[in-house]
Amino acid sequence: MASAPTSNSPEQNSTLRGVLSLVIFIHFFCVLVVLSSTFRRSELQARLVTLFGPYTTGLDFDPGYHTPYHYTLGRVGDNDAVIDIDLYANGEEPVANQPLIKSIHLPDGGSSFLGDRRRYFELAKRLALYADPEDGNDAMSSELARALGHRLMRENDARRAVVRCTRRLSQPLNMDLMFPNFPKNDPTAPAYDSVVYEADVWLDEDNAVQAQKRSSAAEVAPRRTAPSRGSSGPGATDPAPSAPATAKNPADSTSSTK
Amino acid sequence: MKNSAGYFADLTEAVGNGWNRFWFTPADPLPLSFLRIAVGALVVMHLLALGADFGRWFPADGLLPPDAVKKVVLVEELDEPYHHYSYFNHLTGSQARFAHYAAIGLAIAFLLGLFTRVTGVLTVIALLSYVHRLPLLAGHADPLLVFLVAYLCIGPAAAYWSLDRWIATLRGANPTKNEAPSLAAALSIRFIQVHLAAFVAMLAAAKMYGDAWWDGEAIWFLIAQTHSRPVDLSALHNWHYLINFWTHLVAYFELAFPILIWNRQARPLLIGLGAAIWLSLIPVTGLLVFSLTLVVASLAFVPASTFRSLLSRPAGSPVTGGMPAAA
Repeated sequence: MASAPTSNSPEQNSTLRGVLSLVIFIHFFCVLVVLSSTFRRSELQARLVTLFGPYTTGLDFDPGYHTPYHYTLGRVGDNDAVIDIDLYANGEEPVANQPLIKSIHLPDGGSSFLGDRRRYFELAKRLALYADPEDGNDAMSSELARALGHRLMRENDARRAVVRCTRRLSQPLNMDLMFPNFPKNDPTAPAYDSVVYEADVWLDEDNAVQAQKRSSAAEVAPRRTAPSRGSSGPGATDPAPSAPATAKNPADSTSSTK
Repeated sequence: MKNSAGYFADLTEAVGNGWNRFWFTPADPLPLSFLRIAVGALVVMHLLALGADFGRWFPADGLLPPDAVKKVVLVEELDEPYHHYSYFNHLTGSQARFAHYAAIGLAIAFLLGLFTRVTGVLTVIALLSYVHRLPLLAGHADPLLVFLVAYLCIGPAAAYWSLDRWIATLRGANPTKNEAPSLAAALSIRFIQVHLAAFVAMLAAAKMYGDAWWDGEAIWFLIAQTHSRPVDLSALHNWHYLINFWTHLVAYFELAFPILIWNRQARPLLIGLGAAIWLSLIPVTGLLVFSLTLVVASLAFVPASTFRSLLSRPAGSPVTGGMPAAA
């Protein structure tokens, strides 16, 4: 308990206290509603958040759906993904008919502790999630591919690019549960990698950016992992398996449905 | 009926008294000054880290142009109204780079306590511009840093160890005038405490949604990410119980923190445990600034008297008088 306020101090001013109390209450009501509905929102919460939006989103009190404060939920979509971009000089010619200018791997440097590499991983994960043939969003994956391709073509004086997103599955804690074709002693072996999105991006004669998705591995081949537990898109409702599980007992694996 | 009316009258009075005691008891500004320096240093560190690949991300002609960001955000936010405004959406190349250096300058001024409230508010605006330029890829630490700096602007965070105080001395003003316990200091520290408790509850709730935190294997999933893991701790794969314990400790601690932190006896334990747990996540998540910010923010629960005893700065100067605990 603090020293007693003097009779003319603001602490004694009940009108001021009343106004401040109202402000505090409204502020924390907004903050608590947005923080309690970061991952999923009921209809009521969504309505309230829409009302508070200019305040809570504007001042970043609402982390929203975008930042993964859970770090991982063990879903397929939580696995690392990276982006590779092959650049070519001619926008009109197919890539098979022209030499490669340059290949760029993102992230292409930076520190693992300071967030610069993390941004590339998050972008790649998002591209992979939107490329999901079941729960994805082709328009959004194209939007991201177009933006990435355009910027890197401009940086390198190229007019055509192939944007490729590769997801790397992770080993489960219990490695006895893995399929035999996944080497236990090399978690970076090619078997763990799968191209989940690939698109041609080019500048047409009007310098407009065009993108054409190629078939993703997930569309042309059966999954190597146990069946997904649901969407792995942002704000997904169900966690999905992350690790290569055995055919013998996928339900008991670390990555399977309970 | 009379009894129930009496009960509600007592309840109202007790809640009202508790509310007034909690929010309106004047507090010592010393912890605010410490937090200003620590938070200011973290903001500077955060902004310097953003500079590493600044040109690719934040100018309007970066990897993701504002229009593309808006389209994706509207899809992810289920077409809620768009409230992401950033001056970086209108700046390219060297203009954006200049704005970035200006933001670092403001953060340094805030850290040093120079025109603290003004530089604090401007630092908040700068931080928000990074967040709203790329809300899709916003860092974990951003919301924490924003509310910490914003709340520190409420109280006299420059009362100690600041250029404002030094300038006041040069001008012949009483440099200790802001050291007195005040309502503004109490509000500032209480806002930080309540918001932090709610934020940690959100961290816990987010984890409760996935099997990995219940199965005790979430830490392993992080370790097993061969591209993004900052440190290779895969040798721990034979230590299942350790991985399980580490995972459960993080989740249960974050569940307990928002409740037990208000208990005077549990508070020192939680602050110490929180520092150990959040710092332990750095090698597996790489979230250096975020983890350090959580540790620093939790120091808002340390009473001013503890700060004073640690600094061997005796209380009871003619101006400061009694030193009520901040919490």
